[in-house]
Amino acid sequence: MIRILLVAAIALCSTSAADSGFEELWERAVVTVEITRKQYDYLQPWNRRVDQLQKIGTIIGDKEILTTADQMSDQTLIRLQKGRGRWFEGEVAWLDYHANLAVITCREEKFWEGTKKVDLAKVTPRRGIAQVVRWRNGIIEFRNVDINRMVVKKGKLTFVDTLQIELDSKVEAVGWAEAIVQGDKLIAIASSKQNETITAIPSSFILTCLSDRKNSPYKGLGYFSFVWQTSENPDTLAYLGQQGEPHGVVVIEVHTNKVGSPLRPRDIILQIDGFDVDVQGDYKDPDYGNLLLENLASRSKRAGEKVKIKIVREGKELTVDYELPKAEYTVQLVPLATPDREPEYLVLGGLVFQPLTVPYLQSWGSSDWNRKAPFRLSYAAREEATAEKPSYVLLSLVLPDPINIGYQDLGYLIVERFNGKQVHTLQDIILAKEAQRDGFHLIEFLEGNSLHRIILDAAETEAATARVLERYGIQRDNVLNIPLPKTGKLASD
Amino acid sequence: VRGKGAGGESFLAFIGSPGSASLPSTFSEGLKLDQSAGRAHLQDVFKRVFGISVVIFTSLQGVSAAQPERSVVQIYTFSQQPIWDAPWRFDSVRRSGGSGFVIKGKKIMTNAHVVSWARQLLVRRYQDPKPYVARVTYAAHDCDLAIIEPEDPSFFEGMEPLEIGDLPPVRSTVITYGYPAGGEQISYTRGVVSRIELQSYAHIGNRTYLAAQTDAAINPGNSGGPVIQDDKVVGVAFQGLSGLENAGFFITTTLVKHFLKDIQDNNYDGFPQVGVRIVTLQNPAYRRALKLPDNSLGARIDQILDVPTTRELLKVDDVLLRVGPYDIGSDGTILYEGNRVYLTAAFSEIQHGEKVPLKVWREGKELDISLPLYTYKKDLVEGNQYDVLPRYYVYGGLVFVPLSRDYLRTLGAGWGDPANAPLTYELFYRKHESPEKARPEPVLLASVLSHSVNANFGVRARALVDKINGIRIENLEDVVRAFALETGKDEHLIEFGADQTLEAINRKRADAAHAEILKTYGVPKDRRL
Repeated sequence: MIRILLVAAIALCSTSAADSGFEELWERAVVTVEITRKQYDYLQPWNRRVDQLQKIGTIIGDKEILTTADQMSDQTLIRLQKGRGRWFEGEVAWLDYHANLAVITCREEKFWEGTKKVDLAKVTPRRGIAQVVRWRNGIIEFRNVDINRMVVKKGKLTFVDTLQIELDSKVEAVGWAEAIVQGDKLIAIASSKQNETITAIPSSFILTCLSDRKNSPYKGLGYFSFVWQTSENPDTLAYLGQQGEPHGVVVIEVHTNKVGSPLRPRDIILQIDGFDVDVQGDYKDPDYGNLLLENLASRSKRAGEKVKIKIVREGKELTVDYELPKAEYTVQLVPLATPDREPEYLVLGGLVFQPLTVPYLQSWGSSDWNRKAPFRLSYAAREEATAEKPSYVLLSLVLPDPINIGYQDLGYLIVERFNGKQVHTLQDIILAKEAQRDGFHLIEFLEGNSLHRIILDAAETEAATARVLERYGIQRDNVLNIPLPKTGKLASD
Repeated sequence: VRGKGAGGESFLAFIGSPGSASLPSTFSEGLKLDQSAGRAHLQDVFKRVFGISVVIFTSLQGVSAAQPERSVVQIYTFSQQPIWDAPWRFDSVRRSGGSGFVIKGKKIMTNAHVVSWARQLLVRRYQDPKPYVARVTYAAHDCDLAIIEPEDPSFFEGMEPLEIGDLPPVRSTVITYGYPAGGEQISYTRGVVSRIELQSYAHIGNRTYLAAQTDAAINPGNSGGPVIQDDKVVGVAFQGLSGLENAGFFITTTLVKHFLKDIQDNNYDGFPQVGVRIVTLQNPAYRRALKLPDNSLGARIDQILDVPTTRELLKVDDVLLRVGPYDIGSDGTILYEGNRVYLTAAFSEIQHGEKVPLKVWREGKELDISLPLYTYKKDLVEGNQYDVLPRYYVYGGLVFVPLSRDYLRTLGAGWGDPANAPLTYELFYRKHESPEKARPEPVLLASVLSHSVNANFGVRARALVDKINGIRIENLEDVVRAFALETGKDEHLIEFGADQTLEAINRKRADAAHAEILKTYGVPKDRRL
């Protein structure tokens, strides 16, 4: 039976691929997207360069082109090309970095002439052969790929686990929003490729996000902000008071978030929105089979909506309403990304302060920074943000000047206090400057394996900053993404 | 990663001990609290210990008719190290060779790394084929020196002890004597004393002392041999520097004499530690803030460790102006016998329990302080440990060991793996950043000896233990106590640190399987405490 089905599926695909209507449809629906964007050197945050790259877009609605959000941040120009024709200027109509999705449009009517829009498959096929469609040097390419499996894992631009589809392929340089199609349906867009596995964003996930797009305001991607462990050890479940055949998973950490959480460590999660959770943390998805429970935060729900979680707490069953927090980079102590923001910095008497972010750490290697960056800084990326410790600011480097003699070799130090005030942001430092005592700024670093405190001449700082900016060719002494409060009151006071 | 720091970067290649995987001395330096002035990132220490190395440098003055080579001995060591993640087992026996020399009192001096973990020591005299069995009487692992004694006193017949000299001047010529690899006979090499500075001592891994650098080659087998000038020992060859040509290091006689004086009471205490981080004081504003004249004197105390007497007598932002007879420069150095070296060199002249006179600047006034110094044991686990068998406890096949640098080394290159970062943080950073959460002896689950009682136990290795049956685990003894606790539950609950994972094991079944597991895996005893 299985064999017959497989043969049928292959036959169907090859028929479609051979069909000239099929090719014509996709030639008209798939376009090239060129992005020009600013790129920053986080080790010298005032430096920038401009990069250009090309990816693929697929027309999915009236004047709407679907692509990934990858590399769209800090863009300065978007251009679109149909086949090998001329370039048209495009613009972003909608974008969600966590979902890694963007919709681009074009104001010029001429662009849309001769284009066709395609539908997304409501249920993403999880078996069979699909085609990767893309333009390469003005030639349309159709390449067969094997659908491997549906999987719930971290998206390319987020810390949230979402539904993704993996495909096996030897096709090179895939991962730039190429259309993955079956027949006349778009089933996914490619987000990355490692070895011979393409990871792509499946159509059902895309449709959920696009449907949310109609909401005002857009709700965004929700997620579970608790950590759980599998329950493969029956002794652990027995300890926690579960009777009978083991099922469910154990909550071990509940992270604080804006909406709070009704869960507690040691709760056993039995069901989410009516789906039974097994000891490995999987539920049986009606469309895709066994999937990690994390998918239930984005399968049909959005941030701010509630899911019903059935738990065992201290031996008793109960159901709680869990409100899904919104995926935002700012909830992280060391944010994974800071899209569409110039890198923040502050130069003070030649001392350069910067927020600690993953883009900063990626200066040591885009994928292996957690091995190569200074240990304490990369360890920070494992720490959880708390109310007392929402973010870290670094003394990242020192631009030598007479005012900072003796400190020229400092760098990579986490700032704890400035003039006795707690420091979480660059704004905190600017406001704390006022709290100088006896003409000195006292800067204290996290107590640890290196220097703990330094003192700077407060009266000289301004003149020294001007001197440093001039000497090192830096235009501004600071870039702050959040303006200073007008009251001049410190957030941390 | 950009190297930083006034201390200069050094990459030490040690000669000898097997399995000496490298940990960045970033971690070790921190504990030293001494010369890391403004050092944000400290160096990676690469150790490659060849068995023993002697480096000899022929001095221009030449060797006298006294023939020091007659007092230089060859040492064969048969050693066996424990396996830190299966602490009841030992590695295979390793044979290595080194050098030593005869000193007063019918003793042989060599490096500690030549004789550590020795199962058998054999020594041979100059041009004498007969091997003599010897034993270690003192091993000073901090300064990498040891005393060994042959069982047969006739070994010393016809041998003159070598006299211990002083610190040789820089640029003077020295000769190293020893038995390096590549031949059986004694070897001499001549070199110049290139510089004298503080160096990280790779054998212990987290201590820095004075050492002299010479341009003579240091080869496996040279370790422990004397460095001679004018017929006197002016140093003991001990380590090289990987990636650097023509650079060998010898332990200066300052340390040799300290060691010999220390053991006069038949007990080795070790070098005392001040327990402060002293940093440069060259910024004019900082000097003004401390009301100090704008000159080149004085280094600042930036941090004080948990050494009670030091905490009582010294304060953060005290400025050290003078230690003993030495004025302290604003870069943290003293002029020590013609060499500018970090001021901690002055502390290494002091014996455990002795006092050092300090001149300190505090709140605009000079103060004289007599600071007692003691050896500091709390950071032993952050260095390499020797000759004491590792502690462990096995229950229900779960193997618990204290967290140590030795354990991290078993992870091989993987110690730097992000997955092991919680262990690294716990060992080297926790006590500085959140002393209230630090534990005297963090314990980890090193491995699980698989058996049906623990087959479903989800955590299998490398996990820090937070609590067992509700008891916070501060040391290995707590593990034993916690498992013995009557909780009224059928299961023991183990809570792990880094990510709050919970795992339980059935008490009755674990108790019943205990003996069988030990037998199956050849564990002679369930504990070594």
